[in-house]
Amino acid sequence: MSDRTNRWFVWPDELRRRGILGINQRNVDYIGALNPRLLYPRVDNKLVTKGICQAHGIPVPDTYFVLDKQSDVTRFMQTLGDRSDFVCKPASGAGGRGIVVISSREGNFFITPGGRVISGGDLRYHLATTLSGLYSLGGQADEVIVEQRIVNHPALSDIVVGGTPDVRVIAYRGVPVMAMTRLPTEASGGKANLHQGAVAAAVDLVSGRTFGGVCRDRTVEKHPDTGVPIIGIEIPEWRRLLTAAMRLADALEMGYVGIDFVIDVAAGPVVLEANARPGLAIQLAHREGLVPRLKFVEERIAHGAGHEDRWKIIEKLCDRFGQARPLPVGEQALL
Amino acid sequence: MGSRSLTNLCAVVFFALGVLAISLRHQSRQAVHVAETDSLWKVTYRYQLESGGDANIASYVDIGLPRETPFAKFANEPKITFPIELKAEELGPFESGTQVLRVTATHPGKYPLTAVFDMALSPEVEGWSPAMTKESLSASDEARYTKDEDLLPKSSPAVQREVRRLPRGDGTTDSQRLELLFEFCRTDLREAENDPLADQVPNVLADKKATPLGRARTFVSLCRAAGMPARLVVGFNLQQDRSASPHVWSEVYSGNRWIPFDPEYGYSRRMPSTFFPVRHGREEGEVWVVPPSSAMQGVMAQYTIERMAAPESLLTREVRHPRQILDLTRLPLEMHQAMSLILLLPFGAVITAIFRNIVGLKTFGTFAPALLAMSFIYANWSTGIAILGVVLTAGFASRRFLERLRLLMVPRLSIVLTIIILCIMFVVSVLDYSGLTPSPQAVLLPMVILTTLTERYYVTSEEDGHAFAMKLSFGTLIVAAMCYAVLSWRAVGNWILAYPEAHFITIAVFMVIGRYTGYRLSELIRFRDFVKGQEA
Repeated sequence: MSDRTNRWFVWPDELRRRGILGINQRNVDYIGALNPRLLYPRVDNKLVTKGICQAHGIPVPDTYFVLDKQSDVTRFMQTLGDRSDFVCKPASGAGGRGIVVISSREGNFFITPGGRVISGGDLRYHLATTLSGLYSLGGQADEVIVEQRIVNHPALSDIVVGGTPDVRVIAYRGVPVMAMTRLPTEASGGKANLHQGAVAAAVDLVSGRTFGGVCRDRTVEKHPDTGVPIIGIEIPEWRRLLTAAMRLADALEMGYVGIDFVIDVAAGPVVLEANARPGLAIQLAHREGLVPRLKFVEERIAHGAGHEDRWKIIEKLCDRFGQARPLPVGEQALL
Repeated sequence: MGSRSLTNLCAVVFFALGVLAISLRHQSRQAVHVAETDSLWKVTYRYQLESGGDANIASYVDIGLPRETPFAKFANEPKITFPIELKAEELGPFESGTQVLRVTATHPGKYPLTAVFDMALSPEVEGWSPAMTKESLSASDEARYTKDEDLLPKSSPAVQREVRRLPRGDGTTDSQRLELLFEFCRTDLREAENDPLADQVPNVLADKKATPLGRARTFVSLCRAAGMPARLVVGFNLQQDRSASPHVWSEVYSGNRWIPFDPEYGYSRRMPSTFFPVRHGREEGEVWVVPPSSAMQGVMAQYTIERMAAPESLLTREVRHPRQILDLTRLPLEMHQAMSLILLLPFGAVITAIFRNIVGLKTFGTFAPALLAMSFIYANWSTGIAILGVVLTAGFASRRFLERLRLLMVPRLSIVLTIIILCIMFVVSVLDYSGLTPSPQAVLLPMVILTTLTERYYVTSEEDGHAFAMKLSFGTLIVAAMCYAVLSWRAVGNWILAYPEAHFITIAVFMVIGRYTGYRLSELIRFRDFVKGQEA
């Protein structure tokens, strides 16, 4: 036993037996096979994603206005009016980059939820560089969305240090197969992004309760900053969130997507963005590989299955793969 | 058909295409090479035969015919012309392999005979080695090639005396004794010019001087006396000669094959490809032999060897033809380095693909490491390092300063580039002042790539932290170093210029990597917590 506890690597066979999805297999067998390149703008541009959500009645944060040319930056203060609570977000940004959250304002000085003060000039400079493509994929000219700031639901606000936690749902052929909630940490600088150091907990698809947990690719069960347990939290309005995820996955027409929600205290779960290349750390949060779940769904899903059918699959899925079981050891592998 | 099986099919097709194209080109290159090294020779025998006066006794002579070797082959049927008073028939091949033309005179008189042999010489025969010519020696042959003959007197006292001086006993081998005898015949005997006495073995050993024939006979006699089967070989050397004389060398049977030794010219174990034999095993050391039962009275022989013109196809090869487009080595020599470097770039991409998709190393940009490596090949090491240092310091310092000015990205990047250019120009000036002028492209290429890399590093370290940026730099450096190792390999560069179709195989490799769905090496570390004990 001691030789398997502190190993710094794992054999490919051990990963395969646990059904861990690797990047190459994800890219070739799932993204490459199920996400048509043509549809990528639907997820790579948040304005397009938002439009699709609104067309299908999926809640999103209210858009105040959009900047798409440098002259908009000059008029930014006039357009903004007296709003003191908003988010500026590059339309084509990835990984939460370039997002500025303003929670209050004193004249021409803007204050972030973390208490940092940004002058009007600094903010305009930030908007201008964003428009010129600093955060966009491939450095192309970008747009800036100025939208409603999400106020954390109290169910999640207790375990958050700063920033906004979100919920990532992975939908395979329209069926949610795994979900996790991502909580910002000091290291992630308020961003709910795992590769920047955020912590995540797996979410049980039926109950919406958290279990497991991962931070920087290591399994954890407590928030690294506060030491507060991140398991056993119930995500509010879970059924509504998963229904929205199913609906958006259908609307995007992509077979393998990650959909990110935030839970607003008033509006409930709203879609922030969708991702055609969702990451793989969610498996570590679950202590479980994705492949068996994907195969399970693939065997049962019929084309054009309604939400009721999908809920049945989700229930069977949770029954089969369960939650928060200890890591399988040795021969008690999952498959 | 699924995309996976389609990819597999394509990969196989491209691989086969590459192998086929390479082998086709290799064959045609080989054919040209052979045509360049091949030569055609005309060997002419001119005989004057004088048959005896008695018509009742047959008057004939046996003339040895050239034998093909792995290198020298007949290009045409031999042309033999003689008057109707002569009859000619081919005899053999005998056990020694010799073939002779038996020419019989039906009436007394003097008759001319001419034989012309066209020989094609290919000195570069692939896949042939002397070790392949193994042959067994029958008991009768062994007796024949170890016997005492008039002109090869192995039992003469002088021969026996020489052989007794050889080392004997355990630890000495036949090869050692053979080499000592060969050395003796090569070096201990002086040259004797046209002295018929110096053809005879006892005279040779007494006077320590020998004609080429005497030398070969002495060697054969000594070998036979030492218990090794040996024989004389008469043949010709293909070199232009208007009055050629046959050359005599010897062969010793050892290790299941006849090994040539030429004590006159010093060749051993393998005769040069220009030599071809005519007869084996006769003590006379002549091309022709008049058997004792023949009444032939006089034989005059003259031989000429002439080189013939190269084939027309070789001489008209440079005529313009669209086919030449396929040959990149035809391009001016000064383009070769740049062309082969560009052709090597796909190999850099293979390395990049392996590191990204199989190892899982992250780098700045996809092909930036390969381009970085390429630019460093243009620069020599000292200028490369100098430029790297300047670009990194100037780039980072100016980038840091410009951050406060809040400029848009493209103008900001351009300022960094301008500052780096100025710095580099003055570094070049400094290098020149101290006597080390780098070439212009040594400066140009690394500069542009390094400038964009500096910007990427800065943005990454701002956005994702220094640790992540350092990780990317580390990956970039590793992949760039690997690419550099391959791209700077001149032999590979020359080869790919000669065989650019090898990139069909490269494409097949990309297809295989492109459908690789196994784990990356980095994931074996990343997902290590899956094997943590139950307490996890």
